[in-house]
Amino acid sequence: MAKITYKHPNGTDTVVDVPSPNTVMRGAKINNIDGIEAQCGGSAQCGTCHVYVDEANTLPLPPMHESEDDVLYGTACPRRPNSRLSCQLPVTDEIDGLVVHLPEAQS
Amino acid sequence: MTTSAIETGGEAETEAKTFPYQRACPFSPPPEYTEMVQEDVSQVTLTGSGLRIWTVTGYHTIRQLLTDPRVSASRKHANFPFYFIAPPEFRTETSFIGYDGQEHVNTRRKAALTFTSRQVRKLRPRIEEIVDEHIDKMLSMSPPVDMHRVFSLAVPMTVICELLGIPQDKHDFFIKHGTALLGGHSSAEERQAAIVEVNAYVDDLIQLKKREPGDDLLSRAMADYASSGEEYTDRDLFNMVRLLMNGGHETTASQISLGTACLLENPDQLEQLKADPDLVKPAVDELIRIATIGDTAVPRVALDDIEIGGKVIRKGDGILCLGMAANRDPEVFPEPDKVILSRGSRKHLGFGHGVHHCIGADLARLELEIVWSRLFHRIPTLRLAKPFLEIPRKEGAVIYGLWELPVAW
Repeated sequence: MAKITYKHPNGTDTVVDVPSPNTVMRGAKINNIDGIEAQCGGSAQCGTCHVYVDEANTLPLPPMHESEDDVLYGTACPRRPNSRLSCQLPVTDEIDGLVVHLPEAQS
Repeated sequence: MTTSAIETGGEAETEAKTFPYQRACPFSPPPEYTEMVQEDVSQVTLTGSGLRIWTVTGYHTIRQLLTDPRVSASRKHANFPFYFIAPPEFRTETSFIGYDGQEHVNTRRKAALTFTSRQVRKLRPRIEEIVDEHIDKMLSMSPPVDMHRVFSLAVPMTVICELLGIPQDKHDFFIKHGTALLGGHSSAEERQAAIVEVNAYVDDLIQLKKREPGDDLLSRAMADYASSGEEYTDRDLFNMVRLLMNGGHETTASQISLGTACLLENPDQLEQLKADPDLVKPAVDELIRIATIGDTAVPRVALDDIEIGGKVIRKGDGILCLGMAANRDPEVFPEPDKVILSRGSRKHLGFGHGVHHCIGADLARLELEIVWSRLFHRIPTLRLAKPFLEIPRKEGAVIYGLWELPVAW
């Protein structure tokens, strides 16, 4: 279980408790949070679950695999150093308090 | 269909038929789906195994189920919904299509980089060449020509072989074995023999790539395994090659033939496509939706009791997520039986959904885009050489399609 904050482009926040096993992408989908499309359903293929991890983040996130890196070059909003695919971020107790910023568009 | 209806014999005629059901037309769901769609979650009896399994038809229900951690794609479960007599290898030698969890992630990653959108975009010039070469070949023949054999099978086979590092002289070998593995009429022995023969070939290829690595998926997968420190055997590699080979040619070939036939049968839509080349991108997705060739190719097993709309799929039960029904959901696709190229979007379930979403989806889209751009530009008078409904179809196959596509120009 982890508390995750999804920050919307309009300045509002949605804070939810997401149980494990899940991903940050699934956390948004099961809570009906707009701004994450996840067209492919979590197979790191479509790039429509793009998030910007908060720049102040110190929580441990898994290293980026090559294919996630590749998909992030094709996202609708520009890639930044803190870009991740939220489907590749598993929810664990260790990321309790994670803050992610949703991009303006996913596709 | 409700359980009570089955028990009371109220649907005796339908119940006597075993699943998969036949399509009345290649672009329409089987008539039996009409009632199943009303129920969303139904039970059917499978051909071959005789198993009672669940079918799910609703667009939203399927999307939910395919991201539910309580379902498994592993073929090892006793009630895995095979609708033919499957040899033991179909349960054990699956590669990542039949893996769950971290094993799935780790194995799929060995192939994933080849199929990302960015990598696939780089293939465009080569695929254009391949498509043009095969149009040249068709044009050099006297019509009528079986376009399915000369073009639809040959184009994706050439593409996937080049990606995997398989030489051109093996195309016919893989087409023959792909038909045995995925076709609707193969016996368990024929399917088993196909696996053994393909594995023997791929085994030789692996030894070659170990000595002389190339710029291909197989060589990269071996390097990835080596650098990750994960344990693997040659068996992991040939199962992956077989999966990508089957997923990479039979599917796209079926879609080329069915999509082309669909365009020829809908001349108003074809004229729009000819007049507006930009229409081809949405057209690709609309034609994938209309044909849904993988209708029966999304099987799962429940790992726990799953309640949907008052019905309980019991732990251990087999489930088939019927994409053809979901892709006709009128709330998602108004007037779902109409072919409207301009409305094509990626939201259909033709490539499945969830972590097992087709790894080659972007490659397939690009191949289809190039095919339908070039084909009608180069052969504007292309036409069917036989009434469409007389063309034999692959009923009951894992991947739906046509056995032939006689065309003239």
